[in-house]
Order: sequence, then C-alpha cells, then structure tokens
Amino acid sequence: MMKYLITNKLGQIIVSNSDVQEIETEIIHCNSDCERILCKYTNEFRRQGVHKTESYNYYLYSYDKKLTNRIFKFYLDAFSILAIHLEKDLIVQKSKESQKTRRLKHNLITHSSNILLELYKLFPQDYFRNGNNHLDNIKNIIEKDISKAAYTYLKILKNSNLMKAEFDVYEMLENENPYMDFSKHPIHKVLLLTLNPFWLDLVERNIVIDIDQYHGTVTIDYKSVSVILSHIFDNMSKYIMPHSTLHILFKEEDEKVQIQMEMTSLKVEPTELKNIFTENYSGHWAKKLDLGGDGIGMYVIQKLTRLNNGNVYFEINVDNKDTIFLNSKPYENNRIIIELKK
Amino acid sequence: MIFWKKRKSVLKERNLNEIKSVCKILFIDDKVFPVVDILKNAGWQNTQRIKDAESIDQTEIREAHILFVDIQGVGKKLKFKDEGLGLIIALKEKYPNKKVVVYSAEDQGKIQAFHAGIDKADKRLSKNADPYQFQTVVENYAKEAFSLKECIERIKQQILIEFGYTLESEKIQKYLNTIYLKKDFSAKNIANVFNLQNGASLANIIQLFFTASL
Repeated sequence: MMKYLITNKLGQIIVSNSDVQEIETEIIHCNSDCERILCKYTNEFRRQGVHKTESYNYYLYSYDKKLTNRIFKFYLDAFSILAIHLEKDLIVQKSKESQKTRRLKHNLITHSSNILLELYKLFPQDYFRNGNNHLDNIKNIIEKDISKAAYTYLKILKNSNLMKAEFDVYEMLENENPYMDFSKHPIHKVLLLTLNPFWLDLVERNIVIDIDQYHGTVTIDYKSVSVILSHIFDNMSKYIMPHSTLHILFKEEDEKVQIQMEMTSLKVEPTELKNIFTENYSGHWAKKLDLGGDGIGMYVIQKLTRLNNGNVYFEINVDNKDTIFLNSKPYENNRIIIELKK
Repeated sequence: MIFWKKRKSVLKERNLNEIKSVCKILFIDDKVFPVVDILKNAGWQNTQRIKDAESIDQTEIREAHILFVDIQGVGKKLKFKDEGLGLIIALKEKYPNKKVVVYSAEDQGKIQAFHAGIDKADKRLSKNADPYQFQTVVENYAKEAFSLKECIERIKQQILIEFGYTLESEKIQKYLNTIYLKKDFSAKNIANVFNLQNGASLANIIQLFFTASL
C-alpha cells in the first residue's frame, strides 16, 4: 500500500493519506528520491522518496516488502506527473478565487465609502467637536435642510442594499448547493421593496415609473430574487435614457409569471446579444461610455434565476424603431423579462 | 383582551391585528437586534428579547409562540454544546409545537450540513435578511396558530392522518364552539366533543388556539 504526503515549503501538511503522525514527521525529513530505512516507529523497513517542486514537496512511502527501488521510482515518477497537473489546477483556482475576492472587495469598498461620504456630505466630519451634543448638532443640520437629509437617507439605503446583495451573491455562488428557502411571495410587493432603494436614481434621471397592478404570488427564494431585481434596477439606473418611461408589466402564462420591464436604454448591438449572459462581459456602448463595471453581472443574474427555477431574457429594439441619440449616446427600446414559477 | 364579547356568541375569525396582539414572539440573542423593534413597530407588540436562556422552563420561553434563536453567543448559561444550536434541540424537544427560527451571520449554505440543530429548527434566516423576511415568517406562523380558518384546517389534517377520515369544516367549527362555551380544553373533553378515542394531538392545536383568548 502506497502512502503519500504533500507539504508546502513551510513543512505544513496539505493532504495526506497517512494516518500515523509520528511517521509523517519522519517522512518530511526525507531528501532522496528513493531510500530504504528502518522505521523507528514500526521496526520494519520502509521505502521512501520525495519529489520537490517550487511550491510543494510530494512524499511517497511504503512498507511493501515486494517493492523494488525501480518500481518505487516508477510510482514516484507517476506521482510527479500528477503533481504538475495538480499545481496548474491550483494556480487556476487561486487566480479565480482572488478575482472573486478582488471584485467583492472592490465593490464593498465602493459601497461602504459611498455610505460614509453621503453621511459626511450631510454632517461634515469636523462638525463633531469635543463637548458638543452630537444629537443636537445632527438635529440642527437635518432641520435646516430636511430634503437633503431625506436624499442622504435614500443614497445610504441604496448603497447598503447593494452591499448586502454582494454578500448574498458571494455566499450563494461560493456553494455548490446554495441554501434556497422556497415559499410563496407576492411578487409585486417584492419588486417594490427592491425598487425603493433605486427610486431616487431613477427620479433624478426624470424617469416615469409605471408599474402594473398584480396580486399573484410566485414560488421563490426571496433573498436571491431580491439580489436579481436589485442588480437589474442598479443597471437600469445607469443605462436608462433620461426623461423616458419605465414600464413594468406582469404576465401570467400557465405555471409561470413574467415580469416584463420595458425601457428606453443604451443600445445593445444585435451581435453582442449572445454574449450578454457571459461572465465578465460588458456591452460595446457601455464600455465606450465607461459605464460597464465590476458589478454582479448578467451572468450571475441568469444563474440565480435558474436556481429559482426561472429564467431571464433580454430583448433588444422591441419595436424596431430607429435608434434615438441623446447627448450622442444611442438608445433603443429594450426589454428584460424575468420569468418565475407560480 | 376580550375576544368574544358575549359568552353566547359564536367563534369568529381573528383579523391580523387581533392575531398580532395575542401572538408572543421571543428573541434569544446576546446582542441588541433591531428586528425586535421593527416587529414591535409593525404591531407585534408582544415581542421581546432575552440575552440567554436561564432555564428551558423560564416564563418568557414557556409563554412564547414563536422563538428566534441566534446561533452564536446563546445557550451558554445552560452549557449547551454548540451554543444556540444545542439550545434549539432542547427547545424543540421540550416544546415541539412552538415554532423555532434559527438565525445567524454564518453562511447559510455552510451551516446547513453540520448540525442536527439546524434540521430541528422550523426555519433558518440570515442575520442580514430583510425585515420583510422576518415579518413574513412571523405572520405565517402566527396565522397558523391563531387564525380560526387555519386552526380548522390543521384539525382536519390531523384527523385525516390520525383517524383516517375527513370531517367538514362546519362541523369542526361547531365542535370548537361547544368546547369554548364549556371552557373545558382538556384532551378528554376534546375527545368527547369530537367523538374520538384520543384527543391529545387535537388538544395541542386547540389549546394553543384558545390560550390567547383566555
């Protein structure tokens, strides 16, 4: 029976199928590719060898009496070939992970600094001097400009929600089988709850929001669906044409409910339609106008809707009209459809 | 609170406001948790928090209908293994009819695999869940226990499972009325009125439904 042991350069054991700790501590002192020594622990002869790479040491040992040096070296060679592949895979995994955490870190820093800056915009940081009653100070500022305070509240709400969405996505995509809590929810209400934090952004662009009445329910995991909707509204507030209307309609079809969101938004070229749901893809015009970002992305949105037994569709130029140009940015009537189960 | 104005009146459905005033909600959490106040502001006036369970029989726990237990930092006083999760197992063993919701800041996917306490809990929520999610859970469980319609539905289900036949809703309501007028909620009387050999499991549902109005 062959036993193996992989350590990093600090001598810490990463993986091993050896169950005796005393032997492990002996093995890691091995420096040869094949040697036969008398084991202090079992009092039997043991063959052992090591293959070292830049980052890891791969140890192999056996007490098998039938084993020859030649055969042992064969085993070690095979082990070394495997090691190269293992390490390559590890490097890929590492860069994937660091990309994921980099994105998470970047977005969290953006949102949390937005929150603090909005607060300091309303209450200057040096306003809090020693000896002052902070509550009175804050009350004074709010009373002086109530609308500004209301505005700050909405900005903070939006950024906190985006932060929460980041955590939720990270948690859900981290897991092969994310925890989903399915139950019936009134979708109109869920939609409004997630839209609220983005209301200000849309209103600032002079968007008329027109939402259809709907009283039906859908069977969803609330958390992931609110992430989906938050992300869509966040993108919408970036890409929608100022002074236009956002229509949100609900359509029932057999066992499904469709949320159809129609808007005049930044043009998506027909050739890029197929790439919209690809990871890390930003649209041509979004990139050109420097709007594409490190956001959660349509790839994740599709993944999350599918986890909810639903689907997401993107339809461009739905009424075949000419492209509208506003401030030399091209806009068309586009539609996002989220399909969920009743 | 006076739920039935006249002694002779028939049972009525409770509306949500009435359910809110009878349902008792308890949070066991060593730290201040704003959802407690959010629920109170939403009309769930009997919502409170204790820092830890001193005893599994303490009044707050005994009286609560819905319990929210934080995984971290509670269950220490009773020296439970795995803190909150150990407490949940003890709570569900002692009070199988109370709803126990577990919440934590831990990754929801990761806690699912490793402890029986998670499976024992009726529901699992993340600490950063929206107030809407907490409110939905509370509303659903409270209705389950205190709405006449759902109480009748549960009795119907129980009779079907336990005795194998279907009893009409009107009859169940009539029996409930009889039990209420007699003010005898013992399993024996319930078995009598419903004409069953054993009324123990129905008594669980019926006593819970009536406790709030006595």
